[in-house]
Amino acid sequence: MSKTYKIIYYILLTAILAWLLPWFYNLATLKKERTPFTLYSEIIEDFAMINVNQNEKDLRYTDRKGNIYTERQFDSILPMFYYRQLVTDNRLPDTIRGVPATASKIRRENFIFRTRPLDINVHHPELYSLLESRSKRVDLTMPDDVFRLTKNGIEFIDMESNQVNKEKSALFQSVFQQKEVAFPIRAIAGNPTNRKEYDEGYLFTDNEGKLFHLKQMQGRPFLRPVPIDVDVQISQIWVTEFLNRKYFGFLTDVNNQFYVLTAPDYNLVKVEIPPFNPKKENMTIFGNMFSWTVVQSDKKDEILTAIDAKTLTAIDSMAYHNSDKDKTGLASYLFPLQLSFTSTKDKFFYPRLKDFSYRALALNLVLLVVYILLFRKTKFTATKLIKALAIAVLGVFAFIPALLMRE
Amino acid sequence: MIKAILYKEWIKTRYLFLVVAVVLVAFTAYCQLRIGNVISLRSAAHLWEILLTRDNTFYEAMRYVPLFSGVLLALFQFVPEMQQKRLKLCLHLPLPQNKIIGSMLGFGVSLLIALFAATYLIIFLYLNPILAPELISRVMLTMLPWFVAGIAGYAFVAFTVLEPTWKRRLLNILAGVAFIRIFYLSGYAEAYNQVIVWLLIITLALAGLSFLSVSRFKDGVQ
Repeated sequence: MSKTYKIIYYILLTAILAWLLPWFYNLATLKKERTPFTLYSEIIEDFAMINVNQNEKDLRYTDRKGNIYTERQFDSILPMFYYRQLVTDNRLPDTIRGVPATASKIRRENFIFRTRPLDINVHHPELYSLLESRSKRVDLTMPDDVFRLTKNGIEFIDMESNQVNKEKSALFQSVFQQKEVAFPIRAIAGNPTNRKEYDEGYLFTDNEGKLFHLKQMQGRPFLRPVPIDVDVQISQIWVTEFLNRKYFGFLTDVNNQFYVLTAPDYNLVKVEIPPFNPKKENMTIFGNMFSWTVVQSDKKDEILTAIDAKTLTAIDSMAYHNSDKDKTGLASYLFPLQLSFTSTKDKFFYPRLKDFSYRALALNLVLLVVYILLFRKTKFTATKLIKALAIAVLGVFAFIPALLMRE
Repeated sequence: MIKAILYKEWIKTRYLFLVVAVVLVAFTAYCQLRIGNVISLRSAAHLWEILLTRDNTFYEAMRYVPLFSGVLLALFQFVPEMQQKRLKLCLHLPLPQNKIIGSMLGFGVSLLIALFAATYLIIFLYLNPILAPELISRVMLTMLPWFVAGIAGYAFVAFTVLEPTWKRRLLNILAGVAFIRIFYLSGYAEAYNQVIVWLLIITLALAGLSFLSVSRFKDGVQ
C-alpha cells in the first residue's frame, strides 16, 4: 500500500510543479502587450492610430503612412469618434463627406460592439427573461417570469411563486407550433436587461437550423421565421439593439463567416471580414454612419478591417503582429510542457497541457544524468526506473520530487 | 475491534463534531438570511436575476468553512495520536496496520461527508420552494468544490500530522496547500462542472496518503 502511495505522491508533486513552476516563471516575466488604438478615418481614408511608448507618457497620433498629427488634428480626422470634443471646441463640421452631421445624429448612428470568448465559453443557466417590447412606458421593465426551452417546447415560470405559468406557456407554445419550430432549440441569444433603449427579444435557431425572431408585444407572442440561405448554418448569435435600429443582430455560421441581420427587412448580409471564431477570438466593432472598424484579435494577431457601413464590404485592412509571442523564451528550454487549469478564453476549470517544447529535452537529459549519478550507489528498483523515465520526459518537474522524496 | 477503534475516534471528535455542525448550520443560516432579505426587501425576481446574470450564489461566505472543518477534524483526530507516540500503541492492536489506519481515516471522511451532505440537504430544502431547478443546481454545483476542498484539507492534514519528520511535514504542507488551492482557482459559477467528479475521486484516493506517513512512522524514520 505504502509503495503505491509513494508513486501517487510522486505523481502529485510532479503535477503540482508542472503547474506552479511555469506559473511563477510567467508571473516573473510578464510583459504588457499593447497594440496602438486604431480606427479607420473617413476623412483621410486610412487607418489612424495612437502609439503609446513604454512609460505611457508620450502619445503619438499618426496614420499608416507615417503622418504625425496633433491631438486637435487627430480629433478632426476622426470626427465620428471624437464628435463630443469637436462639439465642445465648436469645431464639428456641418457636413461630413457631404452628409449633414449633428451631434445627436452621430450619437444615434455610432455603436460599439464587443464580444470575447470569455463571454461565450461559460456555463449559463438556461432560463431567459422575455421583456415587454411594446410597453406603454418609456422605460423597459424586467418581467416577473422567465422562460425555459425544453425538449418539446417553451415554459414560463413565475419567479415569485416558482410555478409554471400554464396559461402563458400554452399561448407561446401554440405560436411555436403554428410556426413549426423544431425543438430542441440549438442556439439562442438576447439581452435580458432593462438598461437599453428598446427591446428586440431573442433570435434563435431551431433543431433544423431555421432562424426565428421572438418578442413579447403587449403580452402576446411575436414569433417570426427569418428566411436564410439553407447553406448557412448559424452557430453564434448576438442581438444588437443599437440606437440606430438598423440591425436585429450579428451572427456567425459554422464556417466562421460573420453576418448582419438587417432591420426592419430581415436580410442576412455577409460582412466582408476574415473568418471569425467567437469561441477563440475577441471582436470589437466601432461603427458609425460611414464605416465600421472591425478589430479581430487572438493571442498573436490583431486584424483590423474597415467596412463600408452601407454595403458591408471591405474598404481597407491592416494587421498588428505580436512578434514577442514568436520569440523562443527561456521557458521553452526549461519546461517540456506547461500545466494550467484556467484560461482567459473561458470560465471553465480543467487541466490543460500546453506549450510542449522539445528544446527542454537537453535539460531533461542533463537532469537524468545527475539523477543517475546521485543514486548510483543505491539499490536499483522499479520505482527508480519509473522516476528516471519521468525525468527523461518531464525534466525538472519530475527531478525535484525525485530529490525531495529520496530516502 | 474495528467497532472499538471507531468508538475511540468518536470520543476524540464528538465535541468538534458538534462545533463543526453548529458552525456549518450557522453559516448556512446566515447565507439563507441574506437570501431571505433580498426576497423581502426587493423580490424573488431580483434574486433570480442576480443568480442568472452574475457569478454570485449568495453562499460565498461559506467558501472556506468546509475546508476549516476538514482541517480541524484531522487535527483533533490525529494530533492526540502523535503526542507521546500513542500511535505506536494503536499499531500494536491485533489488526493489520492498514485496517487500523483505514478505519480511522474512513471514520473521519465519513463524518465529514455526513456533515457536508446534511448541509447540502438544508440548502436544497431551503432553495427548492424559491428557485427553479436550473438555479438550485447552479448554486449547489458552484459550492461543490468548496466541500471537496474540505475532504482534501482533512486528507493533507492527516498526512502531515502522521508524518514522523518535520522536513517531510513541510513538503506535505506545501503539497497540500498547492492541491487545495486548485479548488479556489476559479471564482466563476459552475466552473468546475466538467471535472468535479474526478476531483472528488482523486481527493478520496489522496486520503490514503496517510498510509505512507504511518509506514514511515512504523519504519522508525527520524
